[in-house]
Amino acid sequence: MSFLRTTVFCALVAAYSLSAAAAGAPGSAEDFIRDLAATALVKLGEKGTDADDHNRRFQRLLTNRFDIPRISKFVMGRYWRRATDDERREFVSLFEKFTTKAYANRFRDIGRAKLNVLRSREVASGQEVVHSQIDFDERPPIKVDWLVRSGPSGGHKITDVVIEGVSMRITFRDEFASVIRQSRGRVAGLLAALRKKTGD
Amino acid sequence: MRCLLMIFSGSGSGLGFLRPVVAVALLGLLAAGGCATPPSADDPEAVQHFEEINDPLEPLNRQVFWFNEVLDNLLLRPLAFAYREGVPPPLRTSVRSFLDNLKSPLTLLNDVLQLNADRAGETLLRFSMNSTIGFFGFADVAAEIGYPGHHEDFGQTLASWGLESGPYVVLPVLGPSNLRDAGGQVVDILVDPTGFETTELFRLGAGLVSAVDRRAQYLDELDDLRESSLDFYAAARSLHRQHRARQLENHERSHPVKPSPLAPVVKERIR
Repeated sequence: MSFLRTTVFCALVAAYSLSAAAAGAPGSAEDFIRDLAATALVKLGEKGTDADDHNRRFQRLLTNRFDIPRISKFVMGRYWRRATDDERREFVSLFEKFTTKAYANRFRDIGRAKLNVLRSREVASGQEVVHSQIDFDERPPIKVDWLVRSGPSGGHKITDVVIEGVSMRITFRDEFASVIRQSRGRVAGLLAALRKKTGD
Repeated sequence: MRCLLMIFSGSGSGLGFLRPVVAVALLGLLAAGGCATPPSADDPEAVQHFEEINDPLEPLNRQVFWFNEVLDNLLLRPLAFAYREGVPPPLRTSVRSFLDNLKSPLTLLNDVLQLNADRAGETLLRFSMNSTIGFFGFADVAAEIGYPGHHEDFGQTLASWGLESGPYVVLPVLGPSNLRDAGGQVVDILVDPTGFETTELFRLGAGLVSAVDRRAQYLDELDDLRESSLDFYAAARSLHRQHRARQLENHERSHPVKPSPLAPVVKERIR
């Protein structure tokens, strides 16, 4: 289990990543991530919200700050092209529910972590990586890199979160590919598994 | 047999010296588990994915993975939970420092084998400092004055010599690994300088506490991943591959573009 500890830990701290906020932030990608952290702290760190309310807030942050359709396309990989329009639409909606369910819980004690933006660099036209570090009281800090894409109107959207070298979208892609392969290459198999998991 | 051949052709030039040992072990295991069916060659994307995942022993690996899961649920996880709830955080940190310090001689050895003088010097400094004024390593004094620790194993050393990882394997009890790193682990155990200075019982105890401590650090995260994933095995495999790549890359990044001078020699030898 030794390898798992760090990686999995990362994956779940990715929860932090998924904490998106309401407004589209103007300015640099770094500011966008700073604003995301601040908003997440306010929206999700509030005491006394019940689970449903917390999950709703989390999902709102997720859809506002993350480019869910683009991430969906990536994690489906080569199966995206094989999927019908209906399957694609259903996948995007299920994937959003799936990530909310998987991560919302992790943000219930978001108040105990602090995100510091370290630096950023452009990796492709309109795409930047923002390097950040999350500091905790009781455990060593974690390095989190955010892949941020800027839209034509200047808004930003996150397309990947990389925690200590572990990319969320690559992990999902590999896991989903395995599920599809086990259903003999049928995308419907993945959709069924997601439906079951999200209680749809 | 076909998949055994595939494993070796897939592992490239890397593992020549391990082949006889591994072949015998694998033959036994394959009889029990069988191997994954490769996709047909007319689907290049599927072939590429199959090669990237590099898990020709998947059916067997899955069995070992679930065996480890059962073991974890019965033993390691409860112990880790008790450790986290029962031992105060400062004490846990001290114990971790002590155990890490015990591992420094091995890291030093691997730093040297990687011909990485800077890191070797750092490890030596840390070990001397923490073992003395750090009270046998219970306090990580070196980190506080700006020399944080790092970890090197023989798998990483082999990688720095240019050996590829070989196929993914899940080791009983020890968990996810690959052919190269599994061989590296054996070497690490055999040559660990700490091993010559301590009793077997002590080493066993230290290993157990170390495993419990590590497990305790990721209790909630692992629980969540188990609960939320559609295919925990596949998720764990992906995490392991990426995490290990990062460890190797870290090593290179701190001393950029400095492949070991031994790399060509070793490659030649193996060929």
